[in-house]
Amino acid sequence: MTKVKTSANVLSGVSDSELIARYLKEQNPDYFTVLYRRYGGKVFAKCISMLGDEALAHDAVQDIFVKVYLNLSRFNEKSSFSTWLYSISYNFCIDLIRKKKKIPVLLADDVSRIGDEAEIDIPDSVLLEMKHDRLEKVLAELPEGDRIILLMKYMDDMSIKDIAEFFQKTESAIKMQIMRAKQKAQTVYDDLYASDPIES
Amino acid sequence: MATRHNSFKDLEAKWEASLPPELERRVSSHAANMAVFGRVVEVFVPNALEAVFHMIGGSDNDGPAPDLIPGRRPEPEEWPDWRKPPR
Repeated sequence: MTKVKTSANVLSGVSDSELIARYLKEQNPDYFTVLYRRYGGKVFAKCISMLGDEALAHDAVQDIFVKVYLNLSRFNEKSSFSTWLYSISYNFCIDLIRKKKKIPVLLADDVSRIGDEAEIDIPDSVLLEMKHDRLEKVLAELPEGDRIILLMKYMDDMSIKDIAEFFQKTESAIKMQIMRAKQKAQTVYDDLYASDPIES
Repeated sequence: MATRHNSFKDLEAKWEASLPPELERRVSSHAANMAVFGRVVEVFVPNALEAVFHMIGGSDNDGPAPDLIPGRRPEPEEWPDWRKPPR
């Protein structure tokens, strides 16, 4: 344990790619522990927001990191390690929800169902300045697809290009999906907090 | 330029803080176990395969005798010494 702690301190300034390269060369699991310390919490945040259950999220984090460990040699640096890890995490949670609900999770599929109704672009500040406990409740009420896309954009700071690659959609379709997700979030917020619209 | 407030980051920080430390032990021990398992497979699988080949009737030495391989040049120690009379 002391050895790992020492390694973690020494390796704190080493980049993710360098850690992976060293791990692949030396097969020392301590390097992987450093990666876990960097990203374990962030992956947990995604799992709990997607699954809504703490125990399930703990198991999911463990399974995701085992999956990452087994596939580290396939990481090709086309994107950053964090983007790769988050994509694995989202896919894992989507599969888990699909199995649990036995119904397909609606992702960006409803992008193609955009109607003729006027789209209003809600400013980012509406979501970004919401109190985090209210945001948590709003996110919990949103469909999985909208929740994922908002988390990717505002929590993970993923680029539109990376999100489009994840969903295998065009960038303009993703921009439209984000706009619709923001509208839904605003509607949910209005429904939940109609009696107390001003955050105190 | 002032950084914009982001409630998503606040929410992430709140969830990150609730990550139990024993999860790191679980993940680390899984990683260590898989590393050991990987090494065991690396060492034992080739030998186990060789054993299976022997059991089903093959071996490394089952190829043609060296002097029957076409185009093979004899090694110097195999050259006949014409200075000695044949027995």
